[in-house]
Amino acid sequence: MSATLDVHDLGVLFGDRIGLPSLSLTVQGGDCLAVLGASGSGKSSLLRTLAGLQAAASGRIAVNGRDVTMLEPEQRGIVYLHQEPVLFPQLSVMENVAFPLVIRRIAKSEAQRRALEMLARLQVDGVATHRAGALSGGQRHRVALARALCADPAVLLLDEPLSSLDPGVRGDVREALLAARAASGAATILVTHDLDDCMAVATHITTIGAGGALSAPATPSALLLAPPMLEVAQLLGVYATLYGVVEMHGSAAMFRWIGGVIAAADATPGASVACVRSHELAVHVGDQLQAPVLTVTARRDAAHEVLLDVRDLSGAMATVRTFSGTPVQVGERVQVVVHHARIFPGH
Amino acid sequence: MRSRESLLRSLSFVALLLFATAPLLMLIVTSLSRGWFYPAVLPPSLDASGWRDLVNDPARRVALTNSLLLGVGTAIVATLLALPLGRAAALSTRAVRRTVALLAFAAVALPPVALGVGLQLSVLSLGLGGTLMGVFLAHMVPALGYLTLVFLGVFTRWDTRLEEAAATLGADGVMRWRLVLLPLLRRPIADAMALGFLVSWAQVALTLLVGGGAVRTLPLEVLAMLQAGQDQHAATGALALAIPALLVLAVSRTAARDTAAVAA
Amino acid sequence: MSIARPVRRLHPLPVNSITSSRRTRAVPLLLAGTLLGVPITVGVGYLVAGALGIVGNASPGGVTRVLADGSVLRSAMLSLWIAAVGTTLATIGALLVTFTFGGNRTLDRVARRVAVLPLPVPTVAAAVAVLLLLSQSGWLARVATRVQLINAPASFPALVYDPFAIGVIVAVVWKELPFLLLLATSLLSLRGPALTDAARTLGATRWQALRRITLPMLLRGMAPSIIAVFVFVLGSLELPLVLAPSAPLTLPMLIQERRQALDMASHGDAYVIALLATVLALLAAVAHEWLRDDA
Repeated sequence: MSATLDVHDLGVLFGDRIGLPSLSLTVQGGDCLAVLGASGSGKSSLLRTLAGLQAAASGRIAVNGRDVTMLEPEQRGIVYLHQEPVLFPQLSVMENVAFPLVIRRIAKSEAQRRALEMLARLQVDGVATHRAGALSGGQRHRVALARALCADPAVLLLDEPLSSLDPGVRGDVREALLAARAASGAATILVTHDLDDCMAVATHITTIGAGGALSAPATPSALLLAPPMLEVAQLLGVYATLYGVVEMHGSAAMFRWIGGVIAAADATPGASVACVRSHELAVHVGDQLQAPVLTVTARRDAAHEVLLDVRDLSGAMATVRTFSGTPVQVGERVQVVVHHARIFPGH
Repeated sequence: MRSRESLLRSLSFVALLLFATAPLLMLIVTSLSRGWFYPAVLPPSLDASGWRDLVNDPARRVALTNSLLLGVGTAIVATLLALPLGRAAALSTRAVRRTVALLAFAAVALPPVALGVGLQLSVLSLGLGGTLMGVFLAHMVPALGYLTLVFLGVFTRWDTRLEEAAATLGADGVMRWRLVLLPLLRRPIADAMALGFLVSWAQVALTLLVGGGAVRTLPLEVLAMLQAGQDQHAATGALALAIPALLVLAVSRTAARDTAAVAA
Repeated sequence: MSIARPVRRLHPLPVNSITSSRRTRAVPLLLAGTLLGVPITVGVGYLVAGALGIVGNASPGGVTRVLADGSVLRSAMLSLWIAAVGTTLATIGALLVTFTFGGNRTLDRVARRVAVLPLPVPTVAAAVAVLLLLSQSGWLARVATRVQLINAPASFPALVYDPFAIGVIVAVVWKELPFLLLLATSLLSLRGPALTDAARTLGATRWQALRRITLPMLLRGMAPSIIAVFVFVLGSLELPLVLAPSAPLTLPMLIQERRQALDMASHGDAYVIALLATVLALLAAVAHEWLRDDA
């Protein structure tokens, strides 16, 4: 079975210089690959290059086995959705959605029927006769998706599809994205800096690191469990980073930080970093356990967790993350027990 | 305080109204009067004979026809040429945009007299001196300047994402022009044509110099009538000049703004 | 499944119609060069040739002779006077109207509409109208006679054909105020509120905010257009033709007069003066472009 999108050694330009030197990836039809990266890492440029809206510096792009690298955007079978949905202002919603069918010379009545059907699939058929400008944010996204699906693309590129929306609306549009995926067999690439989008919609995640390298695609849960590199872990943004050293205790490697020691299976000795999620450690008030006692110097409440700055007797500091609603207060003496961590070499 | 402020505003409004309309009213009344001389504050009678004379006089009819031909010709040709130029420049690099804007503004800022004297010589050597075609070519220079600036502005503010979306949805170049660009360009094109028309319609120096007096247009006729002391006819002619221009203002505010304007 | 073909290095230049419309320099420059550059160069080139006597049978003018000619200097002074005063008054008037009627009440909107009325009126028509109003036998003179302020046309102050070119200046203000007004209004509505709010919350009074923040902002935004107006007025033939005195002539009229004159020396003069006016205009064009801030 031929992969739907095959990219080999693609050089992506940022303006006049090469930003991402040699990208290779493969996305099967029906899958959704999320590309996670910091702002400015070139995610948009990558998508635009794939779509043909930007020239590539080098490499090859193939859709369903067909080389499209030198083709016009309209010949590639790749539909690109801008961050802010771009609807044609002079057309009504239905005419917008029917556009890809009309230009493929499908009779107007048939085109409109299919357009309505697609609007209904995405649950936004109520606004079919509205002007494009009269829609809410969520509606605009759904209409743009419906229109894209009417073009029956082999590849669908979504550029930060949810970043322009209020948090409350995001869930709604995530549902729309899932419905869209169910309705089409396209290979989808989704670019975002939001992990929640990835978790909800993607089948695989890859990250763009410094130097433009892509990490190997992994399922979201696999990636969170075992990010391949420290850089990727930091990009995911869900871990507390604990700085320490890996030492050999007999034949076992242990990671030592100000809060104690953690088993460190295959880690190499030396300065290291441990990445721990908020549910992978426990903060105990008091000094009952066999572990160094730390003092809480600051507490920052975030939406889903609490960050605690802790300090040992020598003044060395660390920041741990724990569950929301923890009763720990500033000034209290605590002990931190880490159940699970990922150890990476580094400072 | 409140009432004094609104009194001031009302007075200012009246002053503004008078200032803006007095010259036009003067033209209207003068064109409709006969034998209205000093010291009569009001015209002795109103008649439209001035207008009849304007239309009936063969020389004036020629001038009117020339003005219309030149105006419409300039409008169409200048728009057809300036649109691709403005678009190409707007989508290009910043340096190109500024160079083109500079050239266009130069075409517009050059004193028509200076340009006219220069073009007069060149047109003479081409054998087009004193011909309608020569005058048309001369009118094209400021018209192209203005319209290039207009389209430069239009396409600089253009949302290129619309064409991108259309392209990835499968529309090729021709389809993108027909379905996305042209519908959105209808208004700017109409405005540009109106502006091109007005630039040629009001032109004096270029017509005078390049036409050498052989090509008569409405503004030149008005000047001639004024110099001959025919105030009423001059006013009629001036009004005939002004009316299409004011109609354009009523229909398209942007075109009228650009008449004296350079895209700022 | 990987691709069997070896990697190909693409020329990193635009490959299709969407990408190629960006960043090509050749096409727009070529077009602009042909459509705009050629006529300007031809016109100016012939002026140079004419001044040097190469074409047009003029005896070489000589820049020195023209510059030493007193009447040329006087013409230049008159033209500059008209342009400077006219532009300044038009700017002040536009600002006054903007601030007086800058709001959103009905009166404001009507006032702004009314003020824009003169905008499209051809200059010749404006000149004729102003002449009919302001000449010594014009309408204002007749009203003055009726209310017995004067009793003969000659007693009415000479507002046209006068050495101060008052009539011309009035016509200039009438024609150019609307243009500057439109610009000022749009600048004010675009950038005004945010700036004023910031200034006021920082403690500035209405007047201070106006003087220190709003006014400079407007003037900076209007600067290129003010230069444009100045240059247009400087080069205008039709206004002084109708309304200005016969001595000294404004520069454009001088050029025309010398060109139509019978002796070849005058022709040469005409070319030189026209060239000087052209240089001025080009300098203004550069200043205008330099002052504009846009991407």
